Amino acid sequence: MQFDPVLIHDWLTQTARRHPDKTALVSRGQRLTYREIEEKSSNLASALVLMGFRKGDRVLICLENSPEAVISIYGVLKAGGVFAVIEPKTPWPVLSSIIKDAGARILVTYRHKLFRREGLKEDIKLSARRLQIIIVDGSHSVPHTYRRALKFSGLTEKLPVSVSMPRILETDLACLVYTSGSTGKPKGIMCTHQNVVAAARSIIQYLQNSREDIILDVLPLSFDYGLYQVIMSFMFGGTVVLEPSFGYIQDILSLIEKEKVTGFPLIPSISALLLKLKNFPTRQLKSLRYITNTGAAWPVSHIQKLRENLPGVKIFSMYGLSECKRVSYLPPDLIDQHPDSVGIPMPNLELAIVDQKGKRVPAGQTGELIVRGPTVMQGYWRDKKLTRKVFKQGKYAADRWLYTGDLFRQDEKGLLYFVGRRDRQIKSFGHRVNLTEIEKTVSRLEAVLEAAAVPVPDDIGGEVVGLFVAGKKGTKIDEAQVKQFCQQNLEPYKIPRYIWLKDSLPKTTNGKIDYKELISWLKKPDPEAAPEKSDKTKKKSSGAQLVREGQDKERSE
Amino acid sequence: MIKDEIRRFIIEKFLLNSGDHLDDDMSLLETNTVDSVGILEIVGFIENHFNLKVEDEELTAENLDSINKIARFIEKKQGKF
Repeated sequence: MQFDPVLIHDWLTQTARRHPDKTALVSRGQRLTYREIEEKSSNLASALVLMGFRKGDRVLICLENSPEAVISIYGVLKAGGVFAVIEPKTPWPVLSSIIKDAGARILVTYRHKLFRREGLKEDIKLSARRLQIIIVDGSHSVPHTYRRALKFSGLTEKLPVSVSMPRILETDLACLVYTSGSTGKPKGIMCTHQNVVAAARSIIQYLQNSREDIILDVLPLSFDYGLYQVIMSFMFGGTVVLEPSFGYIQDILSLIEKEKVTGFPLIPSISALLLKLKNFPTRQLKSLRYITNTGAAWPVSHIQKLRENLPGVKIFSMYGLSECKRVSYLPPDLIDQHPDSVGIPMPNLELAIVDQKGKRVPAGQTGELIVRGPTVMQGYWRDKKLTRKVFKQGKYAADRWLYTGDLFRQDEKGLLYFVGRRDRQIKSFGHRVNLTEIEKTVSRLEAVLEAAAVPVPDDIGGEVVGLFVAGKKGTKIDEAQVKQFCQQNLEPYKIPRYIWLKDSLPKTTNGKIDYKELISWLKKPDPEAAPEKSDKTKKKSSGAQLVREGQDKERSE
Repeated sequence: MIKDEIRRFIIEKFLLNSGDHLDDDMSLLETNTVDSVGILEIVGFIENHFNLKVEDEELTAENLDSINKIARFIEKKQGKF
């Protein structure tokens, strides 16, 4: 009798044995079979072990969606390592803090990433001394500042020696998913092989994936939603069409048509772009079997328009958080009656909605969502305090509830509805953004007295960051200075779209920043009513105008 | 020159005069200068500033992915080729 594999990479090995010549990956003009990915990742694993790589060592894969990123993930797993995929747009100070936090042994990245001006700072050179760098692209020579750097292509060649691989258990760590926290320090969500395989199985089960499926993945592998497309497809033996971004819409639509894509996972920003086209591309999407959404609440108008244009396509509205991968999905036959619901718990997961004392609330009432099951993370990497804060331990090790911080209600039928967040987290372009983090970062600027970040409704991003800044007396501060500092220290999706300079920020009677007042400023028909420094009036009115447009749009829908 | 106007728009809008180097032939997407939303902003600029209509079918890398490509695309639309 044969059992299913329990390790992420053993699923690849099994599929490669069964269907060696099937196309596993179409990416950036390359087509790779299961055999090629299996062999290259095994070769990489052997090379890593020969280099002295030890079980549990962390590898940061700072690459765009590409064959190299996928091979790196599976190579690291086979060598018993723990991988974390980091978005290459991540600015160096953030990347450097992740290198330190993870205690990374290896960084896989591009030459140009290392050559960027800000990449050559001293602290990074220091951490680079302990860090093995592997470069995936181009030229023969290694950067002079990183003499020990190795070339990726050389490490995926077959070695003439056999290497003994470490023993790996399903309870061993497989990956860290980095996500932003309120402190400005990224948190690493610890996932074991068991966590990942359990989640992938549940999702495959409700999506009813089969070997016939061809999945378009334009979501970054640094985002668990993007990562799982590859992991799941390699489990059910499908094909992944992997692109770095949604980019040029017509090129992506042509790719869908050419590759006969059946599964299209997206976030609301992508459906917004599709629905912005003058003519909906029905013909180019005719091979689709299903569309999924998660990452941010899906506007009902998007769902309705997709249903009208693609009546034969199953539309899955889902909800989850990286700490437990996925929570729920709405069975597609319920979407017309309940388009604002995110459905029912996925298989192998239990949930409850509780009040502040941890008592379950009756149907229809709002409370905090808590979940338990094998997909729930092990905790935050090297942060026991925060880990303790989000878990409530039950009678034995695996019996524990994760407190999600998301506010939910459940109707009499058991359908779930997202209500909001407990903390100051928003979703922008499908990414988690913590407003406190933005404020803390900007406050590091010498001339800043205080900063307050607020969510601003946005047509495509859902919400974007708006930032009110008050400068210290006697200092000069301008918008470009703030923006540039943000670009150097924050990931692109966290950078405030709007910056408003003020003499001071409004306070509540307790002396805290009055966010309600700030948000009401955004909605004022006459933005000049709020006190403001004189040199930046133009930008502000455009922001306020945008909010008004957003609201009008909401009302009309 | 069309090219100068496009370059000025992109530098002001996306690079904020940060001094990042951008050659006229460099890919806007691969250099992370723009994302899919930025592309739409460029399309909006082309439509308003040059008074042209950009069709759905024209939203491709071939037409839009570098300063040079955008300039050629605009010239073609204006019937200069």
